[in-house]
Amino acid sequence: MERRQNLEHTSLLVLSLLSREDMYGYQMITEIQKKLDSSFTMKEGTLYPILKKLEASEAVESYEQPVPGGRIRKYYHLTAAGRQLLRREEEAWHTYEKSINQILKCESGGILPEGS
Amino acid sequence: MEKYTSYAAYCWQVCQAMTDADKREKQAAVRDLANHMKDHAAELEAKGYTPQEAMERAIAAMGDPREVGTELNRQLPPKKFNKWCIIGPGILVAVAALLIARNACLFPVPVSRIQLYDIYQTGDTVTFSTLYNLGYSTSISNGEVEEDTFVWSVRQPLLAGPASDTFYYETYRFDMVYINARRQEAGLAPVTKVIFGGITVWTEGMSLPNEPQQESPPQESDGCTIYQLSPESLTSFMLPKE
Repeated sequence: MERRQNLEHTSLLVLSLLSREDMYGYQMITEIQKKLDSSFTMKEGTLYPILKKLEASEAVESYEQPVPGGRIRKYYHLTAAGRQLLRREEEAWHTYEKSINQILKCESGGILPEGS
Repeated sequence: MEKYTSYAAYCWQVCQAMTDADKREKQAAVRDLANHMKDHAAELEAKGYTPQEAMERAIAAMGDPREVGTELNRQLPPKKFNKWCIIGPGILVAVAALLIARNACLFPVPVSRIQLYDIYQTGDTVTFSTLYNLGYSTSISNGEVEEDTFVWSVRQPLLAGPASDTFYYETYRFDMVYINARRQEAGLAPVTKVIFGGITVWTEGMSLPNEPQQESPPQESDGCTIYQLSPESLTSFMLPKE
């Protein structure tokens, strides 16, 4: 359950990152780690099953570009379907977050600040 | 987690967990993961790590290769059905069936009531589709069969082996007499080919080993054409010769 949640949340993060620019795998990981504090650790290999899943659902598409050193780097691009998916996932996340916060607020007797 | 000392060792373990992947899918996964680790290692080297340290750290950051492989395996697209797996053999079976059917006349155009007794005619070809022998007596009036008596017995030649070959030829010769008589009534040319069990056993021009004996010519009687066969002839047709 925990792992599935992580995968779904990482999927949302990936969609969000790609909504701004095309990125390659390692770039996404560094961006995620830059934006989040050290409490969020992610096994980097888990990114690729997520990308595969998003590719299969045509939310992202990939293309290759050569980089200095002779290697080929695979970039991922968010498609129109991916943008729609991102919107839906964002809404679902906010609804989920709101629900959890409401429950926590009730259970903790109003410890959580208003508006959280 | 086990320590992996090379990208290849890590990727090999990932591939081991991709049990449903084909070679191309595994190669793609290896390329993605290896490029990722090399990017990470390059960054670490830029920060001052030795190449070996950088590689080991980059590998360790990837996580358990079995888990990665299992997740990648789960995301594989369902295998497309290779239509040629069915179409290829299907074509072969269809061609074989057509060849057999052509020879054995499995979809014959039966003529007269003979069709009821597993003897088929297609064009000038006669096919015996059973292992049974047909004996008959019949009379035809104004093109209509007035009386048909059929006697069936196992076609012994096919069961008894080469010793009965002569009998075999005689039996189909016997049947051909009947069939040709019917065809003559219908204004058709005599049979030119005989197939038994899918094997052509006689074609026009081939001689028959033994001519039937004492075959009486058709007789006209009260407006009926009567085909008769003597008891001796019938016996010689129906029983193997010594």
